[in-house]
Amino acid sequence: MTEEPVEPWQARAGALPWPIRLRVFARSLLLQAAWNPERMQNLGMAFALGPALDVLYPDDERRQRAYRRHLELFNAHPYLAALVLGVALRLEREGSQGDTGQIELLRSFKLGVIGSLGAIGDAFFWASLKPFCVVISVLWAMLIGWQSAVWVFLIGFNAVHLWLRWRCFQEGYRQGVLSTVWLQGLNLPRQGRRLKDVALLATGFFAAWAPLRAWGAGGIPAGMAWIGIMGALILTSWYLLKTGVSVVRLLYGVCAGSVLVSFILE
Amino acid sequence: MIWETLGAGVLAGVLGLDRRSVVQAGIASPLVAGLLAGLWMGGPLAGLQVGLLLSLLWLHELPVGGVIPPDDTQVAVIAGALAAILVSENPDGASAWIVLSILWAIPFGLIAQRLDGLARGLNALASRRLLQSEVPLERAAFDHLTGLAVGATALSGTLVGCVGVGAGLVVLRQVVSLELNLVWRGLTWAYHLIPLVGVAGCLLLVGRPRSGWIIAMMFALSATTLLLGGRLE
Repeated sequence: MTEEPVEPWQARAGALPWPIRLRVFARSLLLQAAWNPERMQNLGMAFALGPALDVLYPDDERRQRAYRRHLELFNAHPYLAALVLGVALRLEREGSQGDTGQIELLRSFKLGVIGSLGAIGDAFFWASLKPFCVVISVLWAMLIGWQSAVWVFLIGFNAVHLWLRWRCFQEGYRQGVLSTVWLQGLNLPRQGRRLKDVALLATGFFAAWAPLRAWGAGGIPAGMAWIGIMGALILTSWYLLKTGVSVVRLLYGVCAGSVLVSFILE
Repeated sequence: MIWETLGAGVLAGVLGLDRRSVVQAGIASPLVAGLLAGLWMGGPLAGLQVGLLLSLLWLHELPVGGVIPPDDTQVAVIAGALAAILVSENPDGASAWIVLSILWAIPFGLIAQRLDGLARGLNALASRRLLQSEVPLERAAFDHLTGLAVGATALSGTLVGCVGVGAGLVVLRQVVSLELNLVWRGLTWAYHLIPLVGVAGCLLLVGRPRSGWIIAMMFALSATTLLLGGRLE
């Protein structure tokens, strides 16, 4: 078996050229584009790694094998998947230089982190950061000014997720599989709980402030009962949502109920 | 109005990319989508109000795993564009027109949700074919597939957006001109009640044992402060 010629950049440690790494990171932003229910982000993974695989494996046969192994099932939270991409770049680089054990390690690493990265990412980004940014933006729009509320949301949300995406990618490439220790050190579940607490405080304020704002608007029957109605609606909605009633049905229900009461109180 | 409708459709298509395919930077969130649609139609404030309501409502609809929630981006763009037009043409009863626009737009969000599922099914077919193919795999094949998926997403979003806004303008203008004062009054009340459904969604989303207490205490504290501050009589 003939050895492949070693490119100058391959001789240096951690030396996949930065333009290639940058391209892989940029393409990772389209990881979800071809998501499918069978192998999920597999096409996105192969798409993102493409520029690196082409450079790492000039030999056709090895490149084919590399593409095919990234067509296996893969799914993680799209933001935290950057960590896996970074690790994949590093291990593929080492594998291309002859350390075939790294390829097996990459395969088991991908399978091993699918569940945990998905769970951590969903809990932090979708269930903590996003509600936090939305609730703060809503309050901002009502109390400070609507023009800047959108910027509050966009800057708050993107600053965190783009920074984390980039750092995950960098650390994944720098530390390989040990980057999970770095990620663990960020303690995203704890940060998420803090964001949730702030979101809850803001939501409680909003729940009290909303009836005051609506006071008398559109001929709403005034009186302290209004606050009671609001509280009852929150509890009823909470119960219905918990039992699986969709938010769409609830919305139409609230509108139909309001119109009905309007007719009754004529 | 044809150009405005087409523009709103293109906006829906472009923002749909952020929601499903590219970056996912929150530009497709209802808050931003509603505002942009309102801006395009000349009524940013109405668009933002649509966005705020939908943001709260959709809080606990999470795109976890393979779950595809109803497309709030399409709803925000269609409702934001329609609300901007209706409110500028009939400033009285703005709250009712905002709710009416949302009610009109939601079925289009459900259609977009179905189309998203269909597109993902086609992606699965493409993935299967690639795996079974004897042809050597090249980067160009993945670029082509990803390009197709992105294009299909943009196209479906644009079509749904155009139909939703175009048909909505025709139908809702007729509806708004009707003397249905009791209905409009009811929808105005609904406008003030809808955010509280969002509060319930937030409570459910956070789902921690003490979350109910935190909200209840903050509610009581805020209401008392505001009452003492003379905001309530």
